[in-house]
Amino acid sequence: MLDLDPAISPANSPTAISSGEPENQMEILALRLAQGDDGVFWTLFEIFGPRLAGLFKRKGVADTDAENLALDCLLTVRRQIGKYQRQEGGSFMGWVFTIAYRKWIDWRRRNLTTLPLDDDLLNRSKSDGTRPLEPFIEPEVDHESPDERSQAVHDALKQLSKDYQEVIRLRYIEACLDNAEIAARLGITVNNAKIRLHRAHKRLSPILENDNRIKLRK
Amino acid sequence: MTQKDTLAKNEEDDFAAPEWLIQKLQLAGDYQAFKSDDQPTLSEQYRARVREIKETLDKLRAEREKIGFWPVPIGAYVQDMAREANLSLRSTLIWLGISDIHRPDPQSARGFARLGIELGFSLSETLAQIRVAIARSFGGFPIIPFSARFREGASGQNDLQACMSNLRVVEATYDQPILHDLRLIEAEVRAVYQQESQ
Repeated sequence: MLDLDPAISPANSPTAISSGEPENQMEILALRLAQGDDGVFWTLFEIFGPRLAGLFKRKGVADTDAENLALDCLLTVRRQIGKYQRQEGGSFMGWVFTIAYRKWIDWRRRNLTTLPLDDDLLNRSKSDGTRPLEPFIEPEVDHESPDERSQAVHDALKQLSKDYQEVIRLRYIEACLDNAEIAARLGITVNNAKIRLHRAHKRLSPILENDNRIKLRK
Repeated sequence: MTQKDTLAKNEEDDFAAPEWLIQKLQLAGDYQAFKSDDQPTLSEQYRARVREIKETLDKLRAEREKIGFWPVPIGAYVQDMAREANLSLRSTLIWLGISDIHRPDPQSARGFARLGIELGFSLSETLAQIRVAIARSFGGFPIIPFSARFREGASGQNDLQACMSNLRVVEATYDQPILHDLRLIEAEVRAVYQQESQ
């Protein structure tokens, strides 16, 4: 049995992965799970349970469903751990994220309601406290590792001006704000927020398209 | 509005953010949030529910490994194992979205498939036991006592093949609506097993 940092033990129940070398600690946990050490499940539950539930809630899943999906993911990780192989640029964290994203896509597909083809409805600001409806196009979650994709986006953002970085971060990275919320946060008009986002997209598109870490559907 | 932030009409027209770009940015944002140490706290109620469901599934799987396939309705099979192991199925069935373990239908088919996967059933075994449950609900399938499993010592594979042959005979008598539901159930179960193999 491999010695594990005492910080990663069920007794300490870490949600944060903050001691030692987190990536190595995670790989050791994955290895122990693959070797049949079922006690590791509870350590993984403490690490990933909140992350999984948090991800699903961020993606618009209601609390109870988010918790149910989180458990489904953890049991899937346990069953499929034999398929996990660390690859260059990848990680166990990224592998679990990909499983979770597939579960969310499946949930979303099953809970998809038919949207009316009405631009006003799609663009409607959330005066009633709900998000504007968005058409669902299944993300290509398997095309590259989450770690490589994140790094590519991070590197691409550094090539934008501060204003454009800011709107992209508020829209996608640090929050999921709509144009009105971005405008309020930055103290600009909604139209200006929309324009900055448009230009940021326009500059980012060729940078990421030419980044060989980003794989696009042929 | 400053000149800098004015969107010229032609600029607006000549570029629309491609879907792949939006997706990559969303995925990157979601992954950053996922990796963050700033996460919500899980309730004790949820922790207790997870402990109960995991324990139930682990013990059922252990029981199932001892028994193997047996041509009885899936609900009776699982319930008998639960009784044997002194387990309550309530939380597990709620989690799986199965409202009545004795009546598989298209709405609960995914739950039965997930249960089958968790307990180590093959696709054929899960489908067979669901089909037996439906056949039994019409009185069209012989009841074989669970205890006979240990008396007869037949191999699980032979049981499965014989069961499938019997089912084909029984199902030939079904009305169209029942056959339709059966096909829906089968499609759902196959889809879940297919996802599992990805």
